[in-house]
Amino acid sequence: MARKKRFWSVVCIVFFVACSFGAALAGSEFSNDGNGRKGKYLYRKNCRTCHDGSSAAEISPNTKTQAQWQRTFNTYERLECAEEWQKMDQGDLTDIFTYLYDHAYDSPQPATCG
Amino acid sequence: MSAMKMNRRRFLGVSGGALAAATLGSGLGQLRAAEDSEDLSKFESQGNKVSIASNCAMCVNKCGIIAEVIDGRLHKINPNPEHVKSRGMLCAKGNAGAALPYSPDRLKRPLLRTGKRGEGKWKEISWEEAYRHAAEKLAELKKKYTNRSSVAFASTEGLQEEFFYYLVSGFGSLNTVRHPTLCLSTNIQGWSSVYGVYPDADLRHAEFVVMIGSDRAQSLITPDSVDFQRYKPKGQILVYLDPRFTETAAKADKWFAVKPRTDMAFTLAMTHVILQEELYDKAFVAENVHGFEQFREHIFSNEYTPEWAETKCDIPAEEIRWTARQFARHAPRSVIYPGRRSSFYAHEVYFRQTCAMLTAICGCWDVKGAVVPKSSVSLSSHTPLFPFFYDVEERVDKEAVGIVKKVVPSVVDCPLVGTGLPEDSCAFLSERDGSWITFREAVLHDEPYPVRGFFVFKQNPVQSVPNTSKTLKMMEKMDFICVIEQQMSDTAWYADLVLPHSTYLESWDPCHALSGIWPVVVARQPVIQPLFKTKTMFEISRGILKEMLTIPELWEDTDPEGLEDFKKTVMEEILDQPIQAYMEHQLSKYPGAYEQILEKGVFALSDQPQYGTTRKKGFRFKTKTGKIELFNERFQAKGLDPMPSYCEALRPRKEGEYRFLVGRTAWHTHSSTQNIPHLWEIMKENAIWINTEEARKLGIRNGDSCRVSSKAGQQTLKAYVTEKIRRDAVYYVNGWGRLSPGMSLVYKKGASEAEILEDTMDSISGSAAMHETYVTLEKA
Repeated sequence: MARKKRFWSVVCIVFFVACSFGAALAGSEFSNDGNGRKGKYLYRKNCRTCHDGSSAAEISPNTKTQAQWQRTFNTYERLECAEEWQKMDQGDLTDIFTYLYDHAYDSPQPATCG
Repeated sequence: MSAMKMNRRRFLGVSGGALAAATLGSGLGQLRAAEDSEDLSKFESQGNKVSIASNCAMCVNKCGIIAEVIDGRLHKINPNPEHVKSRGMLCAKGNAGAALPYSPDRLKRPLLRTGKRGEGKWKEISWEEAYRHAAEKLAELKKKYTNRSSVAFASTEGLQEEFFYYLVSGFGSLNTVRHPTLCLSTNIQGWSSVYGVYPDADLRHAEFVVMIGSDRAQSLITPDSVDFQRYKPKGQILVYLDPRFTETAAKADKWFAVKPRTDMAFTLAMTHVILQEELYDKAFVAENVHGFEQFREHIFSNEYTPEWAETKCDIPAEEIRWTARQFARHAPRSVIYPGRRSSFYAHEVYFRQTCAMLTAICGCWDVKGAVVPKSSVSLSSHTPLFPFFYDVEERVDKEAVGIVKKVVPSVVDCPLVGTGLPEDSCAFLSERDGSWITFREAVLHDEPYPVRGFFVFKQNPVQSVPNTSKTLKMMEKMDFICVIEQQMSDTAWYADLVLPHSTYLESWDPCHALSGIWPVVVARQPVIQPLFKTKTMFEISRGILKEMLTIPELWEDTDPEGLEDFKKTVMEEILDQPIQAYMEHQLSKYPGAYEQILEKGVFALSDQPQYGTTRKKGFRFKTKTGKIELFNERFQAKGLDPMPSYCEALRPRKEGEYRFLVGRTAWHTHSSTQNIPHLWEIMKENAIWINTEEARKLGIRNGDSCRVSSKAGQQTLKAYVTEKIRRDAVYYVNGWGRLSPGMSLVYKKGASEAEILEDTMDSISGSAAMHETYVTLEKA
């Protein structure tokens, strides 16, 4: 019984540490404090050129929620275009993230008319 | 589609309000001809006649048109029966558009001011000189203020507007200001705060409709204005609230002359009844709604009962109760009509929220006959790469902290403090739209930096932004003003450089996806050759940007790579190509669509209404929680009241004051159509509506000249003494009292609305509040 209890304690600690590490990674790697205006330019130059539906799936800022953009940026190594990401400066990536996050599907950016 | 087809004679029966008035009140040969196409053939010449499909631009609707051109001259404009959005309808404005290209008041060549501003002294210059002048002025302003946002750009909707934004982005200013905060931004934000989107209403299939202040029989929106009059299902009940007896009131089953600014009491009380009697859609609420329990508690604890509401809005409690029960009974085919222009009051976003929430609790959402999120036809977009500039500061209406305090009403029964309304800056501003009222105030106070250049496309802020004297003061501060227009508008009259734009009948306009329950794509092609040396915004942006590229100082604060990208992707690949190539790319997903646009003027993937996207399992709404929000998490995070609370109406400051109301007629669009001869024939000047009893007290008789005064200004116009308005309100329509002698038919005729409107606002959306002005009236 005591061994079983210890086992579950260890499982809980490992789980807690893993979650904390994941949360810290998500929170620290990318935040929306970059230059969104520059990020828009960089996104259009580096991402949109393929992701306009011609050679890759069409994407725009509101393709994903803020949480989804956060996950995408934190795990970009899994993407087919990971090599392109690695060529980019961390500051540029933060700028792109800021633009996408601030205009995400669930961002408070109001709709417009016309 | 076939069910919607209607011949022109049938249509003219439908849109009777507008066109009957047009033909009754005038000797309009052309409109009469439009009324009976069979008789028309007798008058036609035997020349070379062609019919060309395009889309109207006399208002925002972009209805389908077929232009009849004989020997190169536009003879008349017919409705397009295949246009699924406009239902084969063309209103008085659309018909009268045929006269627009031939108006003697058209601007024909670029004009450079030679006298003082507003003196009317101009010299004609070539387009090359005009482009050079504009580019040099932009360079001067950039050098002087080292901030690209020192130049502001104002525009309004239209198919060429996206090319105005090529000029904006090529220069790099963030100070853009558009029409929504003079129109529907409170509506957009109120509904979006609940659903994440601003929806339409399916009036073609609704069984029970509540319209609040949306005069759809006069203020025409397609397909709604056609559907609720012509295609409504048998037995549809319309309840209409308006302080005036309008054309829509005449068509309603019940009209309530609601006390202005108290509509929210009515909707809150309806909600109270539905919650108390448990008439709401429990399954829909359980599955889709966030914050229901808090909302119910909020409604009950504030005791928003029908009896309470009656004391506020002058609508009997039993009528409110009846409306609520009927609304729930017919759900989900019940509609609280979202409408369009909603810039009525301060605190208005909360009122619009109540409409959206009432819709939600009864599940009147995204099904036939309900309120439905807009669908759209997806177009292929271009990816122009505009440079990233370093010398750019944030928009003034966002950065000028404390500016809201300068413009919100100083005398209100519910001061801002305590209602959760923002006081320093607007809570939610659209990046492109900005807020006209706060923008102007920031410019007037040079907060947080000077704005000294002003480019205007198609907008007429002198006539459209409340408090004209402030707008003129703002323009006085400018080092340079350039206006792109078709006629010498009041704003153009005070400009330094005026560039003549082609009419919609002379130009290629790019494709535009009109979203809605019946989504379509429209575009325009010339139906006649340009009559004068006018150009489109596509050509004007190309011309100015080319000149800018010859001035090195304009590109010093960008990276060389960015500049090269701009030259290639914007200039070479888009602006130096024919606009038809741009349009073909937009439609490239749909083989044959471009040809169809040329042949029929419209393209749609389906002629059937689109419902149900958000009803699919697992759908995530564009709200913070992903659900329909009755408790708004974003508002809460911003320190705003997360649920709508009633706010007492602004009261008259003294005896004898009347609340001033604004509205529309079916034969004019804002201030843009009054100088078109056929429409001018219908209405040559405006008149102020005043209740018969009040007029008697003031000694005013029908047709008397009256002086109307507010804190903002004073105007003189004729009186229209009528029973069709409440005693505590007066009204006149926008578009008269023009300052520009270039608008020869309406110059100094009637009264301007903007001259007397005070510049109060809703500080959540930044929208002007156009029904918050009190005026006095006396015989002139």
